[in-house]
Amino acid sequence: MSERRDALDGDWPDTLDGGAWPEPPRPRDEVTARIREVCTRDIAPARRLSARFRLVASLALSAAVFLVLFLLSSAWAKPEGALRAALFGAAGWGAVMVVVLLVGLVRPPGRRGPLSLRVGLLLGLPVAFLVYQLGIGVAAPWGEFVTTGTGHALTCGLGAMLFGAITSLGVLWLWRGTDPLTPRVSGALAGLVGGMTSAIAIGTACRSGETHHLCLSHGAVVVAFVVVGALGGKRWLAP
Amino acid sequence: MERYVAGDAAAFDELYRRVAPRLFGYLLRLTRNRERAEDLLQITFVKVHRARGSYLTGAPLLPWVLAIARRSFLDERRSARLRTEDLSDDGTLPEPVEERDEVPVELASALEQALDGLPEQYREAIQLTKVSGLSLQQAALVLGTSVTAVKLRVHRGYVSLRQRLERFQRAGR
Repeated sequence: MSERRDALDGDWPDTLDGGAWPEPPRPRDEVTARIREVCTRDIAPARRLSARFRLVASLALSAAVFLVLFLLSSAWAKPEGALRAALFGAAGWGAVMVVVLLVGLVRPPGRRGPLSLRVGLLLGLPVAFLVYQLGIGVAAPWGEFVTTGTGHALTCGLGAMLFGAITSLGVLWLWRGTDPLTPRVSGALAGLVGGMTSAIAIGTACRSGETHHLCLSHGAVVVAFVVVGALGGKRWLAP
Repeated sequence: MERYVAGDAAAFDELYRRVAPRLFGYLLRLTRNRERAEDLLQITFVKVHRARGSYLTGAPLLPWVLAIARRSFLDERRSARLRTEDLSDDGTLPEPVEERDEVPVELASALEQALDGLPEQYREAIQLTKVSGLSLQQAALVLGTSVTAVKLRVHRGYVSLRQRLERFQRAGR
C-alpha cells in the first residue's frame, strides 16, 4: 500500500532524474535510406477526410437508416401518441449520439480527454437506454411474452441487428485507421452509435410496446454492437 | 506531419529526424535485438506512410507513431510464437543473448545494462516516460493502460534500477 502511495505521490528520491539516461541510438544509414525511399517515392497529397466530414457522414448514415425504417413503418398503423413519443425519444437519443461522436471520435487521438469518460459512456449509456425502455414499456407477464411474443421479438431483433450492422460498420469504415491509441474503445463507441441508431429507429417502426420486447429486441442490440464495435475497432481503427 | 500528408517529401525528412531516434530506441528496448528493431522501424514507417491520410489534425505525433510501433511489435511477437525457431544463415540455431558480466565504467553504460535487465513492463514504461519523453497520460495511451498503472511500473522499475546500479557501483570499487 505504501509503495502504491509513494508511486502515486511521486514521493521517491529520484537520483536518476536529470542523470545520464542513454542517448537514443540511431538506425543504420542503409535502413534510413530504405525507409526514406519507400515513404517519399512518387509522393502525392494523401487522400484525406477531415474529422468534420467523418462526423457529418456518420450522422447522415444514422439519419438515413432511421429514415428508411421510419418510412417502412409508415404503412403500419400505430397509435399517434406512441409514434410521437417514439419520435421525441429518437430526437433525445440522437442528441446523445452526437455527444458520443464528439467525445469519442471527432477530437484527435491523444486529445480525447480521460479514458474513464469514454469508458463511462460505454458502460452507462446502454444501461440508461435499457432503463429508458423499461420506463416507456408496458409491463406484461413473462409467461405471456414467451408464449405469444417471441416470434415478433425475433423478427424485430433481427431487423435491429441488420440495421445496426449497417450503421456500426459504416461508422467504423468512416473512421478507419484514425486511432492507433485506443482503437477498441473508439470502435466500441462507433458500435454504440450504430446500435442506438438501430434501436431507436426500430422503436418508431415497432408495433409492440411491451417491456420484455423493448428490452430484449431493442435494448440488447445496443449492448451487442458495443462488443462488435470493440472487436471491429481493433481491426479497422488502428492503422 | 501536416506537410508530409500534403505531399511534401522534405517534411518527411524532418519528421524522420525528430521521431526515428526515439522510436528506434523504444523498439530496441522492446526487442533487445538491433535487426528486429530495424525491421520494426521500417514496418512502422510504412504503416505511417499508408495511414497518413487517416491522421487527424492535432493528434500528438510521437504517441501516435509509438502506438503503431508497439502494435507492430506485438503482432510480430504473436506470429513468431506460431513459427518454428528461425535458423541463422549457416543453418544453426541462433545463440542466446548472454548476460554481460563485465562491469561498466560509466553511468550511462551501467544504466543501459540495468534498463535492459528489467522486466518488459517496467522497461517499457521507463523508456517511454524517461527516455522518449512522453507524459504519463501519453505513455498510458501507448501502453493501453491507466496512468496509475504506468506510475506504478515506472516506480517499480526505478526501485529495481537503483538496486542494480548500487550493485554496479559496489562491483566497480
